[in-house]
Amino acid sequence: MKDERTLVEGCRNKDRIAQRTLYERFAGRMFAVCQRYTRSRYEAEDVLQEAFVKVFTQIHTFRYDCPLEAWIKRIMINTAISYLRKEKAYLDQADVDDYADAVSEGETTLSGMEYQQLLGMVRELPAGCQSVFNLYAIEGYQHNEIAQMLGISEGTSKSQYARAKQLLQAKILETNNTNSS
Amino acid sequence: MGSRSVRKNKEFVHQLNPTINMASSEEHTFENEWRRRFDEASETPPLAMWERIEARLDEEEEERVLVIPFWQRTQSLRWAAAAAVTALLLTLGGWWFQSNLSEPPSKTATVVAPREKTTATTTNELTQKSQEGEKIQNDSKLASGAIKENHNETEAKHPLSRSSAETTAATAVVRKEAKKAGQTPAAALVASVSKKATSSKVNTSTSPENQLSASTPSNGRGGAKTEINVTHESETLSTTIASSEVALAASPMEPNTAPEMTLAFLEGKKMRELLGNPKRQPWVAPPSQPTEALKPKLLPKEYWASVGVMPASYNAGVEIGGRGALAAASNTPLYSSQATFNNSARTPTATNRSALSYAFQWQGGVQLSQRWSLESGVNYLQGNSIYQGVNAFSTLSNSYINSLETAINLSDNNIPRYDFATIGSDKSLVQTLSTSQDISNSYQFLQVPIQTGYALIKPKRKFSLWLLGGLINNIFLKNTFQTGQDNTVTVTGNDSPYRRLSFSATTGMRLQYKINKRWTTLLSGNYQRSVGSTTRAGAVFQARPQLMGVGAGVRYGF
Repeated sequence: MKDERTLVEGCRNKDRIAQRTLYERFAGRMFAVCQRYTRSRYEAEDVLQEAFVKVFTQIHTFRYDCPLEAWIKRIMINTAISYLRKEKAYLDQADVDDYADAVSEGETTLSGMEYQQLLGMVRELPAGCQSVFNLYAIEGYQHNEIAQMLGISEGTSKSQYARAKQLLQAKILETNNTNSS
Repeated sequence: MGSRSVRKNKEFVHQLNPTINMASSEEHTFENEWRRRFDEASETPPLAMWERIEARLDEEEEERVLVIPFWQRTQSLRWAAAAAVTALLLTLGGWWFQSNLSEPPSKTATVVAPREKTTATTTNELTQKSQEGEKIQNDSKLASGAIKENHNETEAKHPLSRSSAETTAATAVVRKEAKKAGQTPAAALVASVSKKATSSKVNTSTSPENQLSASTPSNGRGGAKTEINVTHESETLSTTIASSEVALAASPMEPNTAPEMTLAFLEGKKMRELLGNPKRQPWVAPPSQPTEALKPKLLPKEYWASVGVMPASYNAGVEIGGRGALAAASNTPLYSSQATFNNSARTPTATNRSALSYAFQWQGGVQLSQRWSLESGVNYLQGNSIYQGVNAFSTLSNSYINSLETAINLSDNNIPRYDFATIGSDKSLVQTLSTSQDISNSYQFLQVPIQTGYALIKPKRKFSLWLLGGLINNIFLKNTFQTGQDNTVTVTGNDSPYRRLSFSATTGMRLQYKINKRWTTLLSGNYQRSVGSTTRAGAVFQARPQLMGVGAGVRYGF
């Protein structure tokens, strides 16, 4: 923890070595975060670069009231969301009526799946669904929080999530069936 | 954000997992499973990523310092700026030569006569001045009237066989003259190109016959010195100077018109070096690392046109007197007496007040990069100013004449000079009354500005802030002023005391607000200051206008 504090102080003083150390410590995990919010590796790189610039220029606002990683991750997510907003990725924010029409749980285990396969599935989700799924399932935000972050209604958030879940379960089923047959 | 993040942190979730799994239904399994797979995920970003981030950080820090690293920006722009200035100076020099070479030879008389007078006034006591009065008046008469005779008389006063001591004294006077006219001293002894040009010029006007017969051994000392200096120059330069000397000798010029001359000479040799001096470093600029990513992005050039109006405060900066040529005219009691009771207010700032003026601006420009723009256009300037002058009664014309009127009349080629010489020769004809008069004095100019803009705040978003600087070509249209009789007189045309073309330096700031892709509103502050006088060399008064204005306008981008 003391080490982290030294690192943050170094970054505040615009010390390039400290900045690079911090980057190298978190870049891998943060790149994975960027990957699942975007549709291509190219987009993910853009977001990662933009977000790290923000991290270093805003480091003076970090108050040590949460783990550094959580703070950085939040910046990654916010940057990704505004990036997607710029790219008009929220145009297909239609309400989904068949909410909670879930597929049975037992057959949708991820045990046999590779990370890259899962990432591919998330990236194939419709743009609106993808962000809501990430925020709700992976990050653990509540629907009212997600609604606020994305500027959509809570109902839309819920329906988008339901659709995402449905689509993913269908894909997993399909993959599992292909693997077993 | 903090508490939320803690709650959602993976350790926290993992700690809860057993209880969740046991207590809650299967609906959390789906999320937990995905979360577990993605939480630990890590992917290696591209190797160049850090360099990209670092370059961006450098850029951000540079912007924060808000320096104007003028000399370190793109090379091409630096040369473009140098080329623009050079072109402008060439035009200026060309125009100057042209206008001065076509001046009538009567200039010689008007130049030499004041020098004689100055020598007299500096060597004699004030009491002696009255005794000399008659002689000076005669001189003045000759200066304004009988040009040829005066010229001969002057030649007679400059004998070729003058003793060396006398010549030195004369050189000292010349130097003093040059100083008085705001010039570099007659530096036949100093080895600077521009100074040499000035000195040779001064010598030329002192004794033209010396220059013309420079090869004869019976030369005056000053002339010989100039020759030596010229031969010491590098070959190409000496040719240039020699040729210009011939031109000067053929049609001698006044020492007090030298600023443009000096600039023109400077331009050929030094200007490029001056602009592109690689040693010049902005003192606050952070040491930048030469990475490829640092190169500024070149955007497609954007063209625009704008219209605007600028209410302004205009000060004509009129000053009567102060020039060598004035002396000829100042010998007239009319002028002298005015100068006497006008002495307390001889500085231009004290005798001029600015009044509300305005300018209409039509401009166009090109945005060369995110930071730089090049702009030009046409402005119509209506400059109003008040000159605090003196009103006197002339018994000859049986009317009141004010000092500005007198000065303009004395300088105007259209008005026969002998009228004023007559007035001047007889003191009894002018009854001086110490009444001051606020003379409304207005000017109309057509201006052609050439300026560059540097974005202090880049036009990334709606607002941008620009720093502007450049030169304005002022084309004189009209001058209107009040006479002693409260009439107004209009001065216009090529023979007026005003130069047809004069120059001002301009600087300012402009705030821009982009309404949409095409339209932008502009709010600007502008300061202009004339480079040298807007009056001709022979005029007995000077005008060095200043302008401060706040303008508004709209712009359309193509």
